[in-house]
Amino acid sequence: MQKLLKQLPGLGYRSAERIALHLLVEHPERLAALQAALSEAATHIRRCPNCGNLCEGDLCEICRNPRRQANHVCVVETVPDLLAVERSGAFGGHYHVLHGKLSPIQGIGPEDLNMARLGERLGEGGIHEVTLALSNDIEGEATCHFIEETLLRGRDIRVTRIGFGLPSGGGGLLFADATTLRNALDGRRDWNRPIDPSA
Amino acid sequence: MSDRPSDSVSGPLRIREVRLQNFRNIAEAAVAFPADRPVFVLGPNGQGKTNLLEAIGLITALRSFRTHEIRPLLHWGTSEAGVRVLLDHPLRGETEFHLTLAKGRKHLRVDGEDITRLGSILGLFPTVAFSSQDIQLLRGAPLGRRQFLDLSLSATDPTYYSTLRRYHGALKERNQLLKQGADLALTRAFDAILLPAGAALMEKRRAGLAAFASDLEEAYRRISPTAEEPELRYAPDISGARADTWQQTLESARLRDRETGTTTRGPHRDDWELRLKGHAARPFASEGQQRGLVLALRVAQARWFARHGGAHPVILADDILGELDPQRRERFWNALDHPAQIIATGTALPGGDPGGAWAVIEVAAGQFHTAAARSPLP
Repeated sequence: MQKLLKQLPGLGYRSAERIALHLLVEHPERLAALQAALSEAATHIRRCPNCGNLCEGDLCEICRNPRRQANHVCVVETVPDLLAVERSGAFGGHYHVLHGKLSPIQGIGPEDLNMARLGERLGEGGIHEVTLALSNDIEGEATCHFIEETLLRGRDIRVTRIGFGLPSGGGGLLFADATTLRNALDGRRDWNRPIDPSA
Repeated sequence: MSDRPSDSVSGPLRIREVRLQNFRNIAEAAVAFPADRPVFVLGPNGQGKTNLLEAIGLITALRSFRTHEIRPLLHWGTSEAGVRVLLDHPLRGETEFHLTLAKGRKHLRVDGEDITRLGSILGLFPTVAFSSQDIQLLRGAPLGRRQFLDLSLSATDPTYYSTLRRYHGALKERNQLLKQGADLALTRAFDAILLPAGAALMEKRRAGLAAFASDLEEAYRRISPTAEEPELRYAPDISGARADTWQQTLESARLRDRETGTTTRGPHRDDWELRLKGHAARPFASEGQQRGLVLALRVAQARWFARHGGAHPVILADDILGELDPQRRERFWNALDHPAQIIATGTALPGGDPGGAWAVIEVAAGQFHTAAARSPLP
């Protein structure tokens, strides 16, 4: 049991031992509840067949929600990424979770990702904009290029990529590294200046 | 480089103290360096002179000037080595550099703060090591020359380093795809990163070498008494180092790349060469000219760091003073006419004056002792 727990992310040898002892010796009454919750989740929670998010029914909550714009799809790497965008409250469309990014070195190719379904969704029509919210590294960027080249080219769909720049809050410029500052400058936008009354 | 103010330097970087633990043949040592005088580390061969210099050299790019591996740096039978260097930085003030080395792993703390990106400290603590191996810059494989160029440019231009990393990251992934025989669309996805990064590298190398050439000319003039003008020539793998040629070359090499399972063309195969009187120095220059040229290259690197970085580099002269005749030694000091701290090693105290009496540190079996001050021999 301790060995299995240790394999979980964020748990080392000692934490695994603590949890095992907690459940078996100190609070055995919690074990049954945990057991039930785990097997319940294992039988009911699955990947949303439409977008790859976690879901309990036929579709995930987001794909089911009629108030969300189905014509705007945000492509993310992982479910935690999706949750992060959701928490921001800044996006009201649908998602597509790839469950990773292309990395030949780690043996991850397009067939290992939720890529074919994205192609189907785009082919079904009704999507006007795709926002690529993949990480700003070589693998994330190559995945964007691959999607663009194999799935989006020739389709009348607006393709956008999220901006990469400074974190919000004070002192952003001072503590930003050169790459981040460069991204922020490259991604600069026109500033709507107040109208000059003398002009 | 042209977009940076030159002569922006405020002062020299100075080593105040070095503490070593399980580093090569040194089990434990603490060596203090006087602030105002050149230091000579004196002792027979095999006692640990170069090891001390090598440890100091690590502050620049966390890389040894003798090996690319970590294992040889660890004291025999131990699994971890520690290098602590107390520095006076002209802009930062007193700074503590603490590097921990273990098999396949480096961990750096600067003033107690973990540094996870090499890019954030590259160029901050410049050193230039002169060693007898430098002749390989002229005679050796292109790899050594690329590393010389990459370090010089990375230390003075943060975007150079990030571009270089991007290029090599994309190259590694692309090579893996070629080995797997992956389809074209997948390779192209990485080409889309490789192409602009490679074009930017070539442009920065061309401009960087052109700017570096003036430092080299100045350094060689001071070291060599003749009127020969050295020439530094970029030898890019992609002819003309042009972005459009690069794209065409990558395209037409696609088939061969798949067969060999590696990217056969590109800036990762770039080179540069030294020329003297219109001829490549490697086959044509005399032994003396070649030695003068590599000495000038290092002096030029020191000038480069001083002009484009934030501090005058620490000069590490590993057993090279004994190789120079008195006249050349004199010219060598003259060429290094900036206020840099000098730390030299040798089996005997050299003649000539580096601008003040040597402070002598004697070394035996990995132990260092500060000796009484000595004046240079007449």
